[in-house]
Amino acid sequence: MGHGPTQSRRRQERWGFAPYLLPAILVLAVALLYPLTYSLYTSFHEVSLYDLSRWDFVGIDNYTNLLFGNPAFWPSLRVTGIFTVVSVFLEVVLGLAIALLLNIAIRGSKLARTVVLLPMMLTPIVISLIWKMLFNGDVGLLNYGLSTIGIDGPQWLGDTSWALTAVIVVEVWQNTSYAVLIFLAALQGVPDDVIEAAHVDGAGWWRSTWHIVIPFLRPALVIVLIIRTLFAFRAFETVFALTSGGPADSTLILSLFLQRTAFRSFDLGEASAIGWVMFLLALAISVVYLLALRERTPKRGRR
Amino acid sequence: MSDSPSARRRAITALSAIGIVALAVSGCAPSSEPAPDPSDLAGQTIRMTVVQAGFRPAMEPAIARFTEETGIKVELVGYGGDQIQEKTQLEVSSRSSNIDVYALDGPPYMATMHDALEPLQPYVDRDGVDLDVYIPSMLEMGRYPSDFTQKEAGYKSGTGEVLGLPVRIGPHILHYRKDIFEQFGLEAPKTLDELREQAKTITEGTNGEVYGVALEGAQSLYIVLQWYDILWSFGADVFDETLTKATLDDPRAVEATEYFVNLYQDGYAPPSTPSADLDAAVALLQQGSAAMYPEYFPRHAVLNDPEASKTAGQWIAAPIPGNDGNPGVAVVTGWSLGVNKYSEHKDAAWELIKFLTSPEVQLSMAVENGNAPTVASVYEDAKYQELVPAAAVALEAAQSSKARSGLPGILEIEQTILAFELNAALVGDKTPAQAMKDAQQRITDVLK
Repeated sequence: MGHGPTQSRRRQERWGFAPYLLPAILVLAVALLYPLTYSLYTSFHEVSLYDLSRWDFVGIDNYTNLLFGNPAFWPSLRVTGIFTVVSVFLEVVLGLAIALLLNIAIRGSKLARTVVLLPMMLTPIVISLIWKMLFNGDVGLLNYGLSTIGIDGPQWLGDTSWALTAVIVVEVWQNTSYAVLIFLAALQGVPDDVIEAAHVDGAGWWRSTWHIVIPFLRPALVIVLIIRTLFAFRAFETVFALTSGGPADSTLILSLFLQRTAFRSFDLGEASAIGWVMFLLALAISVVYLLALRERTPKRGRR
Repeated sequence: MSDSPSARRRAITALSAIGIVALAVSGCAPSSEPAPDPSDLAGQTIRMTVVQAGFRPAMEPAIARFTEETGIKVELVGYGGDQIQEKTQLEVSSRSSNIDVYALDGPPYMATMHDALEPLQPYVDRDGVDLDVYIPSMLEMGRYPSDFTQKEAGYKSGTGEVLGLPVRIGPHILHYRKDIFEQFGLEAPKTLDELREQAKTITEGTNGEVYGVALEGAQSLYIVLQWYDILWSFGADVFDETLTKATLDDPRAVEATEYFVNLYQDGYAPPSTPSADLDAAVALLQQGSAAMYPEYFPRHAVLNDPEASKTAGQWIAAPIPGNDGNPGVAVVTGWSLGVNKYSEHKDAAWELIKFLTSPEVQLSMAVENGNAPTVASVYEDAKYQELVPAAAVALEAAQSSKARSGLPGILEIEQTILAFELNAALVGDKTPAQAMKDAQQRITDVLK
C-alpha cells in the first residue's frame, strides 16, 4: 500500500512521454507504414499500370514467378551483390585511409578535408553525367589520359566485362567521402593519452593505429558498413544515368530491374514483389552486421 | 466581366483574326452540341503535357500567342523524354482530370490510352477543320484503331476514330556530311549495300579519323528505332499485320540484324557505339567523328547549329536507303495532341489543339521555333525550304515511313526485350540469329 504512489509515479515517469511521441508515430505510420503495407498488398495481386481498376489476388505467384520464372532476377541479384560488396569494401578501405591521413594535422589539412567532402555535395545525376563523358571510349578524357601513357583504354560503358567496374568506380568516387566524414568524426574521440602512453612504450604510428585507433573506430565502422551497404544495395541514379543496365544487362542492378518491371512492363504486382525481396534482403544484411559487430568495442578502463 | 459586350466583342475579334471562329459565331455547328461562346472560355486554365527538351521550347511562343488571343491560360507540364509515357499512363489509368491536353507519341500511346481520350470528330465537324492538310501517316497515328495499332483484319486506313491531331513530326532520315562525301567522290547511298560500302570507304580512307556511320547502340529505345529502319527496309517486321503474332523468325529479320550489327563489328561505326545514346552520338558527330547518321529529322538542326557543332553547315540529308530494289522504310515518330475524356475544360482544350495544329501556326512554329511541321503545305513554303533545306527529304520520308507499333506491352517489347537482344548482339554476347530467336520467343510470351 505504501509503495503504491511511488510505483504509479514511476510508471508515469516511464510512460509519461508517450503522448509527446504520438505526432512522430503518426507521421511515421503515414509516411512509412502505409506505403510498406500497400506495396505488400500490391505484391500479392496481379495489377497493371494499364488498368488500375483491376486487382486480381494471386497469392504468392508474383514471388514464385520472380524467383523461379523470371530469367532476369538471379543475374540481377548477382550484379547487385558484386556492386554492393565491392563498392562498400573500397569505400571503407579508402575512407579509413583518407581519414587517417586527414587526421594528421599538417598545413592545408583543413582545405583537404573540404575538398574530400565535395563529391557528397553534388547531385548523383550530375556526377554520373560527368563520368559518362569521361568514360566515353571515343572522345572521353579518361582514355585520352591512358593513351598518353601508352595504354589503350577499354570501352568502359560499352563492354560487358568493364561496365560494372566503371559503375563501381563512380559509386566509390561519390560515396567514399561519407566514410571519410564518419571516420574523421570518430577519430576525434580516440583518447590522446592512450596513444601517448603507447608511444612512450615505444609503439610507432603504425602499431598504435592498428592496435589502438582502429579498435576505437569499430562503432563508426558499423555505422559506415550498415549505411553504405544499404544505400549501395538500393542505388539507382548512378547506374541509371551511366548505363541504364546495359550493355546486355551487365549492370542491371535490382533497383533498375524493379523500375523496368514497373514502368516498362507496367507490372506493379511483380515490381512490388521485387521491392519486398530487396527489403527483406536489406533487413537480413543489417541483422547480420549488427550481430557480427556488436559489443566488441573496447571500453576505456574503469577509473 | 467576360459577360460585358465589349469584352465579348474583343475576344470574338481576336479569334476571328486567326480565322477559326466563323462557325462558332454563326452558331450553326454541324455537331449535336452547340459550339460554346468563345468568350466563356476566356479565363479558364488548361494543362498540357510536353517533353521538356525540344518540344516545350518549340510550343511556348505559339502558346503565349494563343493565350493572348483567347484569354485561355495554358500551363505546360514538362517531363523528360524517357518518363513522359509512364507519367501520362499513370494519369490515364487513374482517370484523373488533372491534364486537359495529352501529348501522345503515336501508336504506343494510343494502344493503352485510347479509352481515356475524347473522340475529336464531332469537334472537327463542328468547326470545319480540314483533316486533309496533314501528312496522312501523321494523322493516322492519332487514330484508334489505325494502320499501326492492333485491329481487326481488313482494317481500312483512315477509318479509325480521330483521338489526336498531329503537332510535331520526326521521321528518320539519313544525315550525311557533304564535305566528306565530296572528298571521296560519293553520292548519297541509294541502297543499304551502298551505304555499307561507303561507310567502309570513309572509315578506311580516313584511317578511322572519321567513321562511316554513327549508331546509338546503347541498351535503350534508340537502338531499336535505328534497327527498325534496317529491318523494315529488308522487308521483315516484328509483328504480323494485326500485331497479334511475332514474326522475327523470318530469315530476313536475321539478315537485317546481321547487317546492322556488322556495321559496328566490321569497324565502320565508332568503338563507343555499344554505349552510345542520343546525346553521345550527337556529341561525336558535332566533333566530326562520323559521316552518316540515320536519325530523327529534327536532329538536323542540332548538327548544323554553329554554336554547338564543329561540323555545322556540312550536314545534308537523304532518305533512308532501301534494299533489294525496294525503297527504304524509315521509322516515323510524331506527337499528336488529344483531349482528356475526364477533363473539365474540353472546349478550351480543343481550342488549343485546333490552334497549334492549324496550318498557319504550324508554319510559324516551323519557321520561328524549329518545330518539325505536320501540315504538308508547310514543306512547300519558300521561307521554310530556305531555312531547312532538308525539309523536302523529311516530307518524302514521312510520306513513306512507318510508325512504331501500338499494342499493350510494346514498351516491354521494345525497351526490355529488343533493346537487350540487339545490344547483346552488338557487343557479341549473342549471334544475331540467336538474338532474333530469343526475341521471337520472349515477344510471343508477352503477346499471350
